[in-house]
Amino acid sequence: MATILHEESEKKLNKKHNKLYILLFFTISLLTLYLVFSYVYYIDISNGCLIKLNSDPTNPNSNSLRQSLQYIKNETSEYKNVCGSINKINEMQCLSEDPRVTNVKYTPSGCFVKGTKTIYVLPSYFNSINEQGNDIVKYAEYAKNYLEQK
Amino acid sequence: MPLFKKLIILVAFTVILVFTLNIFYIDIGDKCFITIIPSVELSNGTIVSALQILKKVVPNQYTKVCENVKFINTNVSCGGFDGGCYHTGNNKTIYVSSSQRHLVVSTSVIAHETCHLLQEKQKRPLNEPECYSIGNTVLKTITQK
Repeated sequence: MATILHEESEKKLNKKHNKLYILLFFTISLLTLYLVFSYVYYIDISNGCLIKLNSDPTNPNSNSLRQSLQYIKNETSEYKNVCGSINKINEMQCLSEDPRVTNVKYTPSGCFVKGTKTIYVLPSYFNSINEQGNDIVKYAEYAKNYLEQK
Repeated sequence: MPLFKKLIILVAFTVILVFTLNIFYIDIGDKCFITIIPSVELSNGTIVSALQILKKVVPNQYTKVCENVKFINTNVSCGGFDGGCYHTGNNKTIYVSSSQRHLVVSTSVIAHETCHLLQEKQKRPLNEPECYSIGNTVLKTITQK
């Protein structure tokens, strides 16, 4: 009888441990997801803004992209358009022509990719956050016009 | 089986399923069925996005890809990282190494390598300038600066 009671109380203890482990697992998973998400994405829930920032892994500069988006939000009236028209910013050079064919010598500051909500921006091209922000606004306008045409 | 283990298996299964969904590119309306062979770069999503860009923006190139390409292998080949390759005698497969940030290049490379596939199919020599030109046209068409 004592053995049965002991086994039952052990089972209850195991169940409690299992629940604790599950809770711990979910808490750590959610925390990890949130940290990764907020590092990789620009998030502004109150304005419905979610933009993935694909930074250069060898020289990540997503801070300048975040600062530019903050500049657009605080200093321009185009923030809503940017958030609605763009969902991804690739931090790298936009190859808009093949130099083997056109002998192009210059590097554009960025571009909009038609058929997507993706833009390319090369932070090292710009002298200031504001300049970069104005270019992001320009590409968002292209994206909006393209979506409206389709 | 303890609940904790069941949860781990469920999460692992979900991850595998999501990954698997990007292995087969299926567009029934345009009769497009392409198997995208994965690589360590995990770029299947980029290849799918590139195909969708071709469909929306350069439909004539998309048609050529769908009619002729059955496999896109994302492993690195003769073109190196973020490049492409076409091996003669393997006339349904093109190689496109890619990464998330190189969406525009990947789109151009798909068109370029399909051009080589067609050159062989039409029993013409594999001519780079012709395919560079097609890749360049795709780049200029899909980007706005």
